Parts: sequence; C-alpha cells; structure tokens
Amino acid sequence: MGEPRQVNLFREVAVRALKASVKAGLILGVYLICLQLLDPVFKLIPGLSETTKLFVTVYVALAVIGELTARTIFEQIFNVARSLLFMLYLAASLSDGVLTVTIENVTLTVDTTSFLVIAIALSTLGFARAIMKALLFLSEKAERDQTLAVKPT
Amino acid sequence: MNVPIRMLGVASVICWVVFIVFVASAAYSLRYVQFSLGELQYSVTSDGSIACTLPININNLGYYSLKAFNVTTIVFDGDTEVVKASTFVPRIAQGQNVTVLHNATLSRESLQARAERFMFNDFNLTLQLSAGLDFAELLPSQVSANISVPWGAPLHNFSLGQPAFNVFNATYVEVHEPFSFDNHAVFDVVGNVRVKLYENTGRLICEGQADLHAAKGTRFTGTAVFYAPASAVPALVEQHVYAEVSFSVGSFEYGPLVVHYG
Repeated sequence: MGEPRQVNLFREVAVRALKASVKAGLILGVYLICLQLLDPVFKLIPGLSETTKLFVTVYVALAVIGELTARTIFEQIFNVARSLLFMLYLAASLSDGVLTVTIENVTLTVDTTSFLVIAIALSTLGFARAIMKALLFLSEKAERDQTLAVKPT
Repeated sequence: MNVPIRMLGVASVICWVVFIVFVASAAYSLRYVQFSLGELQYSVTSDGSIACTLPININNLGYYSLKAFNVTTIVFDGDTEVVKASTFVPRIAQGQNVTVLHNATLSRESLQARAERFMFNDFNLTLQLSAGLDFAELLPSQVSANISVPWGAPLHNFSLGQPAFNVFNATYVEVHEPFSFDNHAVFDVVGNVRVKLYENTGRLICEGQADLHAAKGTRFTGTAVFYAPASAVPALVEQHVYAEVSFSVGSFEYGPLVVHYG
C-alpha cells in the first residue's frame, strides 16, 4: 500500500517541478526577448535594467514556489504576492509616470501616466483574480473539512 | 465562483494582449515618423526687426496621429530674455506631411535696448529649445535643449581712421574720413553711416555720410567725404576733435557713437 502512494507522491512532485520549470523558462524567455528588443530603452534609463532583473528573479521565484506548492494555501499566497509584486514594480519603476532622460544638454521627457494607469488597472484584475482564487480555495477547503467532520455520524 | 474567476482571467488576458499590441505598435510606428529641419533663414523686416524662420518638416508615416505639436524657443542674453517664440500645430494626421515655419523675431525695441552690444560685440546667446507632442493620442513627450548660439556683430571692430584733408578752396577743405568694420552677422549690412566732426569745445566742424554695403562675413572699408571750414584745420591737424557716428541699417537706427581722436 505504501509503495504506490510514494510513487504517486514522487510523480506529483516531478510533474509540479516540470510545470514550474516550464513556467520559469517561459517567463525568462519572454524577459530575454524583451531585453533584446528594449535594449536602447534600458541603456537610456539608468537603474531600469537592475530593477527589472531583480523583479524578474523574484517573480520567477514566486511562480516556481507557487507551482511547487500547488493545491495548497501557499499556492494562493504566492499567487497573490506575485500579482501584488507586479503592481508594485509597475508603480515603482515608473514612479510618478514621467520618464526623464538627459543626454548631454538634451532632455527627453515622456509622460507615461496614461500607460501607467492602464497597466496598473489591468494588473489590478490579476490581483483581484488571485484574491478570488484564494477565497475559493479557502471556502472549498472549509466545505471539505465540514463534509469530513459530518461523515462519521 | 469558478466561472467568474475564469472569466476574469480571460478578460485580463485579452486586455493585456490589446494593451501590449497597442504599446508595441506605437513604439514601432515611431520609426516611421520623420522630422527634418530646413535651413534657418534670416531677414530684416521693414520695421527693423530681425526675423528668423526655421522650417520644420514632419512626415507622419506612423500608425497614429500626432497631437499638440509645439515648438518653443527662448533666447537669453545672459539672464535676460531677448526673444520668445512658439509654434503650435493641433493635429498631424496619420500619413500627413506637414512643413511648419517656426518664426522668431528679434524686435527693433529689443535690438535698440541692447544696440551697442549687438552691433559691435561677438558673444554667445543661449537658446532654450523645447519641442513636444502627444504621440498616439495619449503619450505626451517633450524634448528640450539648451544650446549656445554665437551672435556675430554686424559692425565688429568698427574703427575710424585718421582724417585726411585736401584744400578745396580758400574757405573749405575736403575731409576724407576712412572707416572699416567686419560684418560677422548672418545678414548683409546695407544702409549708410553719418559722421559729424566736432572740435573738443563741442563746436560742429562738418558732417557727411557714406553708404554701407557689407556682405555677411566680409570686411568693409569705406570713406566718408565732407567739407570743413579752413578755420578748423588746426584742430584737425592737432586732433583736437571728436566724431559722432550714426548708423542707419534698413530702418534700424543707431547712434551717435562718440569716437575720440588722439
């Protein structure tokens, strides 16, 4: 009885690890493509490259941990943390929404407030979804626990 | 609750895709917006002001229209604002090729107030330039620069030579007053110069004038010829005289510039 259970657990962990690897690979792939395409922008804005690297590292870590802890409350916590991190990164990287780049005596100012507002509004959808999923998970767990508690009688 | 969560996910993905496609296409379409500057043209207007015109060509071959295109130039002499000019184009539609003339005028009053500095000295003006537009309807962007612009004096190094005189008749002598200057300005100097010679006591000896026609970037040498009473010869010989020089370039007047001899 114990061996098949162990095999199942091993298989499940292997599948989760594979899923996590694929997810991390996809995110890193998108990041590398964006890095190539937006290279001039990264060069223009000092510090953007470093903050983006840090953000991607934390985001991938949360995605991997979230995948490894699938079907537990931790998955929901990490999902919420990930969407919150994305919102905070957007807000922090664009600060007041006005990008100013100075090259010699020429200053380029781009007001990205509208884009920032749209992006934050869209990321709020992701955050709301993560919260709703967490609530659903908790309510389903409570229902399950109640069913298990009722069954012996 | 599963269905609303899924719908929220689907809506979120669709919105992100539309947003990213819009941002990517806006960034990509910037490659097809061409800006070019024509040759800066100068002219002296009928009221004596100096008008500068800069043609700016915008060929919007991008995917989106450009809104509120504006160019502002402010010229400072030190900390003093000398010229301010703005040009505004409300909308440049997609596919439209527009040439905007940005006009800045150095007014006669402004010139008059700083006439001596502008007429005789080469120096640097500070040009504060800013150009902005709303790209893709919702991305306001602006470029600004501080540029040092050299001002070339139209009468740089103006100097009067030693007056030479010939006996004209028993009562008058013919006085030849040579003068020269370098026209460092970006325009031709066309007009005339009036010279009045005074004894040091303040008594007017004689007066005369000469035409000016100095092409930009050239040295001009001319001679004003006039007739002085023979009684003034001792003062002329001993250089107990001074000259008052007045210029008339276009409709711009400057003077008198007092030049002492000896």
